[in-house]
Amino acid sequence: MADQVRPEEAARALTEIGQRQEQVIRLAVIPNWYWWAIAVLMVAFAAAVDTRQSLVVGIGTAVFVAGVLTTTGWVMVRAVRSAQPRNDLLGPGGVVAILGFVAVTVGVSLAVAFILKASGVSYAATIGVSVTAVLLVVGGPMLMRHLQGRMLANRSGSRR
Amino acid sequence: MIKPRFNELIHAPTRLSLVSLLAATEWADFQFLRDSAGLSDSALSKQLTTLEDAGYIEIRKGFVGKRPRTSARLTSVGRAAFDQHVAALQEIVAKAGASVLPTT
Repeated sequence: MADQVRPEEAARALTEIGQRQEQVIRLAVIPNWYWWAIAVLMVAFAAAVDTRQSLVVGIGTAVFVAGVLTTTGWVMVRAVRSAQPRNDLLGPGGVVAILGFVAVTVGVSLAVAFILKASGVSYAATIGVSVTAVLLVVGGPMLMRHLQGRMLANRSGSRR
Repeated sequence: MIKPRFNELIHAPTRLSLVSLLAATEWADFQFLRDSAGLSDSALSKQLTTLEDAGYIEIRKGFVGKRPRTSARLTSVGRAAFDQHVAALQEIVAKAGASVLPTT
């Protein structure tokens, strides 16, 4: 049977295979709006805490929890309703990239918050979390693009 | 090193699309496969049964709340057959030269 398959047909089949796998990988990416939503919720929560007024802190906490649950739930439901890419498509480099992103985000945020607090700056938490928010909004989509590229390179039939 | 082996069962256009989708996933939802491949429920069921009978996929039926949910994934046998088929297609293309390289 393989002898009867023309090269053009084989090439078309490889293209179809590549496109279908790319379809799965593109769908799996966390949308850009998610990073913005989490960033805004974090800054709002930190600002509420910095006011030190119990009513504002309570409302801020409720909004933060509800917002995180809603946005994360939406992303999770979308993932469950479609298809999760194979874990091995990420490869060790992908895992390192995710851990590195988390480490840089947490490290920079804590460092900024502690430095501001030690310097006696007002609203240290809000400013520190704002730095985290910027890192999420800028770094999140960059991380997704990087992971997408890795998964596309590791799919079956890709030219490595 | 994957040994190239053309697979007629996988090469059929609809099944090639389905297996390609499954090859990139852990588990894929029935609805996702149906919509992605542009098939009716019955047509997809038929194709999945064919692949399951060949031992290429595993089908899982469960409930999310009260709603039934069917998912499928490639078995190790199916993944090996798919990888061998891809290698066979690449071999055919390679023998013909660069003029017919796939576009992705």
